[in-house]
Amino acid sequence: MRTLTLSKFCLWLEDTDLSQAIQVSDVIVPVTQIIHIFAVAAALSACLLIALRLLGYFAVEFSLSHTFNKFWPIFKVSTVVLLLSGSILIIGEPSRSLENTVFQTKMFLLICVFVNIQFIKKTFFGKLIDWKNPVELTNELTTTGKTLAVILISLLILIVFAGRWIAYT
Amino acid sequence: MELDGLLNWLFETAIAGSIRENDWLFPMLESLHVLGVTVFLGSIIWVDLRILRFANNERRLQKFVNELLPITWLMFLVAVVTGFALFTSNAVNYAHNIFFQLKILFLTFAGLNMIVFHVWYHNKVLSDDLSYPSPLLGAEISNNSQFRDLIFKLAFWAHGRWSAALSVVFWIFIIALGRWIGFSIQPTFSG
Repeated sequence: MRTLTLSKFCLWLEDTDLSQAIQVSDVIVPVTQIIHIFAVAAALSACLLIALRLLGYFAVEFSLSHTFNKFWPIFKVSTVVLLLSGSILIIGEPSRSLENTVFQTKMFLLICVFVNIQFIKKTFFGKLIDWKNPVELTNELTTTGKTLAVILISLLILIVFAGRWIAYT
Repeated sequence: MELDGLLNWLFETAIAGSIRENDWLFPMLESLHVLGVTVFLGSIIWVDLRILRFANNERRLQKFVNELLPITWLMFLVAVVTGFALFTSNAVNYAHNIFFQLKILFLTFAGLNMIVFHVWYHNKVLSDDLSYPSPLLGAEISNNSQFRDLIFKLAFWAHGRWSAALSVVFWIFIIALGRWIGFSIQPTFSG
């Protein structure tokens, strides 16, 4: 999606002092990208462990809420770091990101991750807050949980791919 | 000179040529490499933090490691295979790049550290897993006598928990250097 307003905004952003400072610096973009990658690793692993718990491959002796409450805050903090570091990268090259369809898709997928997680919370929390034994799950809930987990993992993989493809489109 | 010959041969292989010239292959391999590296990093740091007793202490180390290590190794394999494929596309330049050389050096350190841990300390860490609170956590240590404080610190050194701390440092350097390669080398990818 590329609109005139967006293009004007990108041009304006590109001319700001902050953007110019980022553009001429040899260090800001690489360092920010390194921080971005560490945050990706933290967010990705936290979400993956929640998904694996839903699939029954991780920490099955503990309740889902236990695993969720442990790793979800890490995902949230990592997402804040991702947004901050991502913002610096965007300010440095606004047109390359904001007007890029792959970047827009990446942002959409990120929203999908949050929606997916809310589904997981709604489906399982309350009903299974003290649940410890996977056998006690109904088939319907097991299928729902596994489906949501597979969707979550797929979304995360797509986000990583989209993030890398921004540079090539 | 011999090494450059080998690198040139790698550069000239059909696979390397395809990676350089195909519009999709290089970005696809790079995306897979990033996926492998990030999931690998995430999982190995969770294991290291558990060994250091900074996180997930309510779970037995053996069980925690058994669940995470298959992912760690799988992603390591993905990162190595894709990394090698990317390397072939510009082998000579990568090999002469200081950041790449440092990355390989740190990878060697990380590998040696892993071997030392598994050979000498793996069983010790597992055996004292539930016996000690974290030797590094000030709050826990402050509740104990100076003698126990000393025991915890000794356990940190004697039982190889330092190896997990080193592992975190090495992998952080490896990832940072890996990213810096991209800013210090002229790509040959023509897509």
